[in-house]
Amino acid sequence: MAPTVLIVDDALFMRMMIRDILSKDGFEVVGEAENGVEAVERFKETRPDLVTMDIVMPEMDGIEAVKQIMKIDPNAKILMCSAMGQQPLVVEALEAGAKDFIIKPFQPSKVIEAVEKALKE
Amino acid sequence: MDISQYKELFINEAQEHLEALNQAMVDLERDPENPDVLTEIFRSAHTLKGMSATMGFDQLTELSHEMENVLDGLRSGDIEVNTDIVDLLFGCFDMLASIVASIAEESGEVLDTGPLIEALRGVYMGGRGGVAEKAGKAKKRGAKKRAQEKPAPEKPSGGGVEEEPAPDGVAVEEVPAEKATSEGEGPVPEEPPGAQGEEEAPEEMAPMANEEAGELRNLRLRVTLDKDCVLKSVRVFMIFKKLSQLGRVVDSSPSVEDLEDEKFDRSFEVLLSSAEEAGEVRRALMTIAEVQEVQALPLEGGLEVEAESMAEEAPEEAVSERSRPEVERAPVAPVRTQSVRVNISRLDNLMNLIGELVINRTRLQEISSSYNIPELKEALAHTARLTADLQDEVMKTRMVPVEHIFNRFPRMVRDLAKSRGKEVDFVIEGRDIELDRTILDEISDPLMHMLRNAVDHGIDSPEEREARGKPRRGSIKLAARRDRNYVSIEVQDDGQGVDAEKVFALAVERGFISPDEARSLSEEDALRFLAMPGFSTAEEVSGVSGRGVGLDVVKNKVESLGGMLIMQSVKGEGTTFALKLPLTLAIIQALLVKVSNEIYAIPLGVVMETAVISSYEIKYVSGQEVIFLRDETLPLVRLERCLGLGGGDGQGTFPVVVVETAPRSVAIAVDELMGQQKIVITSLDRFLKGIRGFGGATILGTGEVALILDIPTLLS
Repeated sequence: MAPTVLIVDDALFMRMMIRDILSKDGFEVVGEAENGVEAVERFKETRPDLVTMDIVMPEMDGIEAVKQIMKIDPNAKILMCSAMGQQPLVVEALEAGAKDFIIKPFQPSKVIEAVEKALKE
Repeated sequence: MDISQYKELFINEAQEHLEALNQAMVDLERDPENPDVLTEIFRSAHTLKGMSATMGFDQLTELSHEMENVLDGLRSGDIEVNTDIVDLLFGCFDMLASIVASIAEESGEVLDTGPLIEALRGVYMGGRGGVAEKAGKAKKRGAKKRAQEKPAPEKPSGGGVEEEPAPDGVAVEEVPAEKATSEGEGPVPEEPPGAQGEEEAPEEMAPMANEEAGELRNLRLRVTLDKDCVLKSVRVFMIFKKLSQLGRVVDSSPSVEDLEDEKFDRSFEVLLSSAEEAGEVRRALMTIAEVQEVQALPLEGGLEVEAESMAEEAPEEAVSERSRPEVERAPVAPVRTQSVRVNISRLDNLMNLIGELVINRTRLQEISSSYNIPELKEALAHTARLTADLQDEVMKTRMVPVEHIFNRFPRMVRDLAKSRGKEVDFVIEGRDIELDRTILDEISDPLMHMLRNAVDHGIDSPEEREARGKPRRGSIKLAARRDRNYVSIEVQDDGQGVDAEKVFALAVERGFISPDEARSLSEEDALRFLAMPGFSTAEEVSGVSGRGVGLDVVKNKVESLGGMLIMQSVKGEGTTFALKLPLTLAIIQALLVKVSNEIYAIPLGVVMETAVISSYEIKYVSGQEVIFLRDETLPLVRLERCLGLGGGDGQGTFPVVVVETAPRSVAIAVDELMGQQKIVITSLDRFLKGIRGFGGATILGTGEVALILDIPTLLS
């Protein structure tokens, strides 16, 4: 079975991009969410091996979503997706339990590297 | 990676964000204290920046980045919202939109974002500087941020300054000049855990490790990051966090502070006191992204064994780790459905096919009744339900909420009101009402025109309003409402209303009517003049509206869509224009009528009522046949004559269809009313398109073709 991934980002464009990068590398995208609330819901439903999580989102931001997901499953593997200039937020997310982060603009190789490393842990 | 495939999606979504930005900015100006609005603006700008950077559109990235800085200042309260800033940001939105447009058109046009960026920086620096005394830190943070956040393309590639790792021991890293500016508080707010208060010299630690806890040993590690690693400080934070789980960080080189400030190139060394094997530590650190290599270095005074064994373990592990995750996968729940973007022409085709299906079904029904097969009838009844459902579903997929176009208007109204020196509250209601995408696109311009009219001619100036005892601020309401099979969109203002006397005077002056006629006209007639070609009451052409392209264009457009324009005005109190539109163009409700044994369809949108009259009720006014219906004089039009079918001097009693059209309602005489029916419109091909009076054709259940009458052009 290919590793399963849940993609969370408020931009459809970004979700498509990540989906393409990951599916090309043999990951199975089992769900997408466009805000934190949806992310938590999808997580409960799909129990993915990995979550890619945008930080700045409507309804509930990525950090809060990380906190809630970690409550549901302390072993959840979450990869933050951040644009530049958000160091404090990235750190906050990492402290909340996120495993790692990737920086937009995404380079496919880096995304895959981060995903594989996070899964390995 | 080929990103061109994402271009269309990018453009669509970028445009949506720009629309949201414009909308939110208007809200912000109205309610500068609302933190939610600012957060939304910030979020949109931020998302736009991320998307643009991903696509490699540097201009977009840079401009949205500078905007974000200003927005951040607004959010933190360092910069106050004022009209200049709002205007500047609107200017930026326009520029972003132009850039997106030039990307979409591949025009290769190069736009100059320099002045905007300068202005943004001015605001941003000014804002920070203004509060420098009380928040010196903030300014520093700002300056630092700027240095770090430079869009990637501008950053000198790290590869060029790559250094050979220092031979052994503590390496002294050069501080790149660019980084030297970023002194001050670190981007990592807290000290990495594990590094806190652990500044003891390694000499002190070493004996402890060897004597006390036999398991503990000191490891000297060199950690190397990827050469294009961004946010190195956060990586450092992660590495230290991980190390603190494995043991205690005794020392590091460069110091923890310097590492946090990114005062290192790619690699640094740490001394870790840990019970773990070096291989284990290495493996743990390698799970962090952008960690390129972790080497164990010989520690003075022993433990070389560790280093050697690790070197052997490492490659082997790398292989086995890789394959592991693939093996142990739990089954997962099915994927949730997501939305798909579809070209509208596909939906058109689908609708046509369904139309054909309906026709075929009717044929089958006729066959089944002539052979009288009950089973077939039953199956066909079921098919009928299914096709009706199918039709509904396809219709629904074509529906888009009106906010799709409404969202552009607040910005336009605001700008226009500002340039006219008028104060206007713009209210939108019924954003979620849905309308066929094609119709929505078509009415965008007419609505824009009506709103311009409302601002330009409707709303009076603040002074005039005060003089009339009205509040200084005028109000314009754009409201969408669902009304059975129609959607009505209203543009309502509380301005000066239409001055009927002035309209009549102008009508006489322009030769539309004689002074005598003018006296017999009602206020309603005055409104009809407004919608006549070449009629404008604006005393001065304002440069925006009132240049001949007027209400008549709006009216024609609406009627061509099978809808109508309804106007109401009270002098001194305001004007309301309402567009009554069918939900969809593909299927309409129509009244089928018969003349000369042929069936015609009249869109129900224009039908006001039907009546049966007798030939003796026909009167003549200046040679024209008219009938009286409830105190109203209606011209009588014989459809047969109108269509050139001959005959049409029906005697006795016959039905009439009263249709609403400009300049007044008309009664159309027909031979027979066949009833009301949903029809699928098939447009006439290009050879037939020029024929006036027909809006298309439809195939009836019997397989017969009926032409759809286009009442406005038929009667004109």
